[in-house]
Order: sequence, then C-alpha cells, then structure tokens
Amino acid sequence: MPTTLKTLCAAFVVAFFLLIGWATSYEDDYFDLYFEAQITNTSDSCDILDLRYVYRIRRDNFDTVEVAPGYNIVPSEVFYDTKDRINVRQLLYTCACPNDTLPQKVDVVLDSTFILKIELDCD
Amino acid sequence: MQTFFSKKDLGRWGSFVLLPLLVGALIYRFLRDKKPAFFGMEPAIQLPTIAFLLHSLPSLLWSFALTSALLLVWQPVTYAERRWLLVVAVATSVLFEVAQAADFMPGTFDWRDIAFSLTGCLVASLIFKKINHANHA
Repeated sequence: MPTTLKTLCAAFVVAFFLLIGWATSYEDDYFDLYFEAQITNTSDSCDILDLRYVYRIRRDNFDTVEVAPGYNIVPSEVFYDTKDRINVRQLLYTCACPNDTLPQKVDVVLDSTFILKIELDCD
Repeated sequence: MQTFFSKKDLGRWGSFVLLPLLVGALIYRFLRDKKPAFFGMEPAIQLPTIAFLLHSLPSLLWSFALTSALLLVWQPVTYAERRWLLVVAVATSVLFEVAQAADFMPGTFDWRDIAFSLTGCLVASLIFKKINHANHA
C-alpha cells in the first residue's frame, strides 16, 4: 500500500479513537438530570441554616453548592428545593439552637424517584 | 488492498481492535456506576472487583486497540516504523490525560490511566512484534 494511503488510514484511525476517547470522557456530566428535595426540620427549638449540598463531579472530585443562602428553616417547616445535573452525596447544615450552634452533615442517596426526603433533628 | 482484507488480517482486526473496544464498552455499560449517557442509566452489576481496575481497564483496552489498529494499517517492516507508530499511539493516549489535567477536556486526570494506557500500547506492540517474528521465521 502506498505511504500516502497508509498515512490517511492511520490519521483516520487516530481520529476515530480520539472520538471514542472524547465521548467516553463525559462520566458524570449526564448524571441524574433532576431531583426534588423535601427537607423537614423536626427539631423542637432549633433553626436550620447554611444548607449546602456536597456533590460528586466526574470521577473522584467533590464540590459544594449553597441551598437557599441566608434562609432559615424553622422547627416543623418543610423546605422544598430542586436541583438538576448534580450527583448529590451529602447535605451540610448548621443547627442553630438556643444554647448552641453546631455544623452537621447527613449522607443522602438519590433513588429512582428523584425525590429526596430528609428529616433533620437538631435536638 | 490484500493486506487489509486477507482472512488473517480480518481476524486480527476482530481480535486486537474490535474485541478490546467491545470489552471496554461492556465494562462501561454493565460494571461502572457512572458512565456517559449513551451507555444508559441502569445501575451497574456489583462485582467484587478493585474499583480502579474498572476505571482504568477501558483505558488499557482503548490504547491496546489503537496501537493494534495503527500497526495493522501500517504493517511496519522496519524497527523505525514500528517505533514511530508506538510514539503516535502513546502520544494520542497520553494526550487525553494531559488535556484533562489542563482542563481542556472533561474527565479527571489520573496517573493510573496513563500507566494503563502505556501498558496497553506496549502489550500491543510486543504482541505484533511476536507475530511478525513468527511470520518471518
């Protein structure tokens, strides 16, 4: 086979494999498109504030995103939130009780219903 | 054209290029939790396998298939030709990880992926060297 044809075929092979490599690089970017969180404050006297999701991005990296910055969930309130395109793993929050303020976290798992029911009790 | 379509070469294209790509795709489809959308959203089959193997084995198979495809297209005769093809395969494989490290591409930079990719290139090169020696013996 002439060298020119070999070169063209080799270039095609490289381009084909680059396309496969590029397509399979999007590992987590298409993760669960949407979820709805129902966060209930079951405490008697503590507010919940500084809500923040911890989510996994791509393979092993984690990042956080604020949920309703500046908003306090008062006792017995149910807070609703929707997010999309994040692989949420944890919820960070702060318990603001009359005598104490403590940062807390809870692991969360998304299921196929895409509804995340979380009850937070700071008492 | 004979070199492309002889029965022996078709068998090699199947064994050394298509089969590794197929196995890599099956790993993505059935064994990995997170995968590109076109592999579906179904949960992975949980096997007692070391996690990094599932993450890096497709890189090895991809590099192996790439190197094999280049060697099958070019049919190198001299050592210099073989070395150049290996350089192209290694550079293409490493290019992805470098681009990911520099944030030019999606995905996560991982030294293990580079090690697995280099292993794939090397194994393919050694197999074809053996085959060539056997053919000329």
